Amino acid sequence: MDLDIIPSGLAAGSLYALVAVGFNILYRPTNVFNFAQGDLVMLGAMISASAIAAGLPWLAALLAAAALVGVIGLAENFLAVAPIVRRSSASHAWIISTLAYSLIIDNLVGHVWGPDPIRVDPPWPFSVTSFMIGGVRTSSYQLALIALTGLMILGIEQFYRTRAGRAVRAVAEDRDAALLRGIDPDRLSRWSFFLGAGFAAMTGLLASPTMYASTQLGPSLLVKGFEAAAVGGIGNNRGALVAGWILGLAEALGGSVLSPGYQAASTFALLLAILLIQPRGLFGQPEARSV
Amino acid sequence: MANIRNIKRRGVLTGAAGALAAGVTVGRARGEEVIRIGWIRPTTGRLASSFAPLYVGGLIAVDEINAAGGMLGRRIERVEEDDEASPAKEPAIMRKLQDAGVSLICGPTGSSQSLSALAVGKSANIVQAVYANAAEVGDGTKYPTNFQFCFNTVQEATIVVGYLLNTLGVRKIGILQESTAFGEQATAASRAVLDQAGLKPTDVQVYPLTAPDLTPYIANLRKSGAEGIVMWTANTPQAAAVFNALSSQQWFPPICGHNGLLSASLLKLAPEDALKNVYSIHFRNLSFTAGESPGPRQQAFAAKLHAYPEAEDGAAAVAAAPYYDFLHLLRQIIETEKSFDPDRIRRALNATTDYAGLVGAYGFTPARHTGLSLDALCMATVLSLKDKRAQWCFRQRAA
Repeated sequence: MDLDIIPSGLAAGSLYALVAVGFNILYRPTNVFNFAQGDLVMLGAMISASAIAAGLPWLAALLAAAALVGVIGLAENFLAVAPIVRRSSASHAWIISTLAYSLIIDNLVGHVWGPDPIRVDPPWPFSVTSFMIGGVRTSSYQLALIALTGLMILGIEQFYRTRAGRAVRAVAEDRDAALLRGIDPDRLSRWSFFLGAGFAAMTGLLASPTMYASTQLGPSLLVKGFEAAAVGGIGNNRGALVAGWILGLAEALGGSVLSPGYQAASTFALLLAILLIQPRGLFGQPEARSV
Repeated sequence: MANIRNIKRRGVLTGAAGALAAGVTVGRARGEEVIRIGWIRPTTGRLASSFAPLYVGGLIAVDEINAAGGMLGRRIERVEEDDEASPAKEPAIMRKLQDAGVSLICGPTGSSQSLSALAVGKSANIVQAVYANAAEVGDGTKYPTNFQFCFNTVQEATIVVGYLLNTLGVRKIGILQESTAFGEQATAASRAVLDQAGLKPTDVQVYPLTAPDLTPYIANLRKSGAEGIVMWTANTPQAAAVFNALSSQQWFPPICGHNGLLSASLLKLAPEDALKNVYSIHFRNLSFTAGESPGPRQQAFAAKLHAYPEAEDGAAAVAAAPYYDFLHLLRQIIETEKSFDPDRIRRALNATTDYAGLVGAYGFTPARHTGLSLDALCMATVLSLKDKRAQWCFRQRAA
C-alpha cells in the first residue's frame, strides 16, 4: 500500500469534518439540517479568494468572508427557516426552503463570479508543494490543515462547556424545558445560523488551496460533509472529525487499491456497515426521555 | 349549428395546414416578419454560468446573419427556453417549442440533455443542432433531424490516442478519466483505438467528480508503467489538481486529452512545468504554426469573441460549439431552397458536401450526421495560449 494516501486522505477527511461541524453548529440548537451549507462553503471560498486576490491578507480575508457569509446565513434563518419553524416546530418544510436558498446562492455566485475557478495559495509559511517525511509524501499545508481541524474542533468542544455552550446543549436536548429556564431558543437559532455560516466560509477558504475556489466546491463537499456528520453522530463534533478522517482515508485507499468503478461503492459500503452497527453514528447518543 | 361548427373547424384546420406548409417557424414581432429559432440553454441552475459562454458563437452568428439581411429577408428571433441543464426538463421544453411553431433549434448542451431532447425532436420533425460529443448523436438513422456540428468522442479518441501512438511514439499509455458519461464514452473509444494498434492501456483510472485529491490516481498510473496519459476531463479544477499532483511527484509524461485542457484558467491554477508536455484536441482552422496563421474569417470571429468577456476562459470550447456553423449553414440552405420548410431543410442538410464552416468543412449524408471529418482536427499545445497569436481561441498546432 502506498503510504502517501495517509496524509492526503486525512487532509481530505479534515475538510469533510469541517463541513460536518458546520452542519452540527446549526443543527444542535435548531434541529434543522441546512442543505445550503455546501453553497455557504463555496460562497466563503469565492469571497475570500477574491479578497486575497484584491490584496487582503489571508487572515483578514478569512474573517471578512466569515462575517459576510455569517450575515447571509442569518438571512437564511429569517427568510427560509424561522417562518416555517414559527408555524410548526414539527414541520420539515425547511428541507425544501434551505435547498431553494442553496440554489439562489448558487445562481447568484455563478452570475457574479462566473464558472472559472480561482487559485488560492496557502498562507505563509505553508505550501502545497510536497516533500518526503518518513517515506511518506505530503505537503506543509496538508499537515497544517489536519492539525488546524483538530484544534478548531477542540475549541468548539470547549465552547460547549461554557455557559453559552451549555445553553445550546440545553436547547438541543429539550427546547421547551430550556425556554422555561429562561433560555431564548430563537436567539440561539439566529446565532447558530450566523456562526454555522461563518464556519462554512472558513471551511471554504481552507479547502481552496487544494480544491480551488469555484462554484463546484459546494456540491462536492456538501454530500461528504453530510456523510461525515451522519457517521460521526449528528450533532457530535468529535464524531464528525473521526468520521471525516475515516471517510477521507477510505476514499484515498479505494482510489489507490481498488478497481475503478468500485471506489465510491466501497466507501458507501463502509459507511453503511458503520451505520448498521451504530445506527446513531460512531458517537451518537441514544435519546432517552422521561415521561 | 353543427355545420357551422364543422366549417369553422375545417377552416381552422385548413389555415393551420397552410401555415405549416409556409413554415410556421416564421412569425411576426414588433411588426416585422421574423424567423424564430429555439434556443435551449440553462439560465438558472448549477450549470448556467458555465454553459452560457458556449452559446456565444451562436449569438455572433445571429448578429452576423441579421446584419446581412436575415434569412430570406427575415431577422432571426431567438426563442429562449431555460432547461436548467436538466435532462428531465428537455421533453417538455421541446414540446413547448413545437407547440409554439418553432422547427429550428440550437441546443441543448450536454450529452444526457441532448439525448433526452432528441427523443422528442425526431417525432416533432424539428431540425436541430445539439452540443453533445457522444458519437450516437451523429447517427442519422437514429436521430434524422439532428445534425452534429462538433467532433464526437470516437473522432476525439482517434486523434488524441493516435497522436500519442504515432507522433510521440508512446506505446505504454494509461487513461485517466472523470466518472461521467463523457469519460466513459471517450475511454471506450480510446480502448478501441489502442485495440486496433494491438495494445491495451497500462491502467485506466476513473476518479469521481467530487474527489478532493487526485494524487492516488496519478500514483497508480505511474506504477502501471504508463509513459503517456490520455486524459478525459472537462472539469478545470480537477484538471488543475491532476497537474498539481504530477508536479508534486515531478513526473511529466506527455498528456493528451479533451479540449477542456485549453481552458485559460488552467494556466493560472496549474504549475507551468506540468503543462509543458500537454496537448489537447483542437481544430486545424483555429490553429497556427510557425508559418501558418488562421484564416481571415477565423480572425474576424476571434475579434468578435472579445466582445464577450465571459467567453475568454473557455474560448477554445466556445469556438468548438456547434451553433455558429449550424446557423450559417441553415441560412445558406434556406436562401438556396427559398423555404423554411423543415423537411426541405433536412433534405438539403443531408445532401451537404464540403461546406466551409468556421472550424472545418462539413458534409452530411442521411445516415452520417457527424459533419466534420478527421481532417478538420489536430492536436494543439496547451501552453500556446501564452502566445500573442492565440487571441483566446487559437492554439499552436502540435508538431
